[in-house]
Amino acid sequence: MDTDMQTDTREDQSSSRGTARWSRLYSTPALFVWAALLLVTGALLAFLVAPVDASAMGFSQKIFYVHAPVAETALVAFAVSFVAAVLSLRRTAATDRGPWADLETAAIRLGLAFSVLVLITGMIWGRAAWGVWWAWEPRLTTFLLAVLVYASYFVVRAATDDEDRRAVIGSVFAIIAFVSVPLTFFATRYLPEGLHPVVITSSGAQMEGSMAATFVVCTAGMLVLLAALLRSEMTAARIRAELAETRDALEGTRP
Amino acid sequence: MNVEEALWYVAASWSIVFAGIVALIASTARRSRRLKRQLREAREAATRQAGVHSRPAGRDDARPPMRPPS
Repeated sequence: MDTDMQTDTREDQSSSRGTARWSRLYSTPALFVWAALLLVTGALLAFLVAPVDASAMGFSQKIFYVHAPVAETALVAFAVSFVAAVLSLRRTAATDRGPWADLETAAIRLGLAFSVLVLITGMIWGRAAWGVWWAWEPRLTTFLLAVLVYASYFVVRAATDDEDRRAVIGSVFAIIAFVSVPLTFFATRYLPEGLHPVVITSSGAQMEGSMAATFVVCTAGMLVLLAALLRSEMTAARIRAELAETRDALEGTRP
Repeated sequence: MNVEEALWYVAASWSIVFAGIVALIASTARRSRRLKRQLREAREAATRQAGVHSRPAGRDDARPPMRPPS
């Protein structure tokens, strides 16, 4: 009996050690390292392995390996904010809502940061491919619209000082704002007069194998980076909440 | 388009993205550090205040409260 218990304890300890070892692989610093490795590999693949595009774009096609992954990461961040907003609204207690509302805000903030990079690299792409910095074509216009809608999220949230009310208003706005994401994604697929190329179609990636591999590695790097940044933002939100509690307690005990 | 022009566009795109990423990471790390420092200071202030309130009146030689392990 005693031996069995000792064996169980030993197994528990070794399994918790194993879990700890695995969890170290996806801790926040580890995620940053993974993202850096993937992005550096992606850069090496883009410039050393992926062939120069045979079309008129030529060497400038290599903008695609940063522009498209950053764009997808921005859209994923907005999708995360949508899910967090739904989960936040499903909670009835303000304290339960807090972490989801924090995740929603962090995802929108990061999504906007990535969107700014998309707009800048997209303008450079436009100059290289079409000879203009900006064209009012469906993809570009809908993406700009999405960015403006998400930027106004912070204005809407600032309309009230009440913490819980702000979280509810923010979540409702984040859900409504998400309509702009599929609109952007499908704009090039269903509106034929667009200039923007469609690379990933229902019949697969419209590019050579090594180009597709480079694109996948760069996208994975950006997504892992997003996960690392989101985790950092959540840690910061937790510390901020703890700080507010400590300061409230301090105010309460002050004579 | 000539190669030199294409090279400029590609270099500009990649460097803007990587600079943006570095700026994002740096701002997140800086904010996190600042919040941790503020939390530590607030906790220290709370501990000091709790010590002042728990000290018996009229006894200046009362033992100071124990600090929590840092």
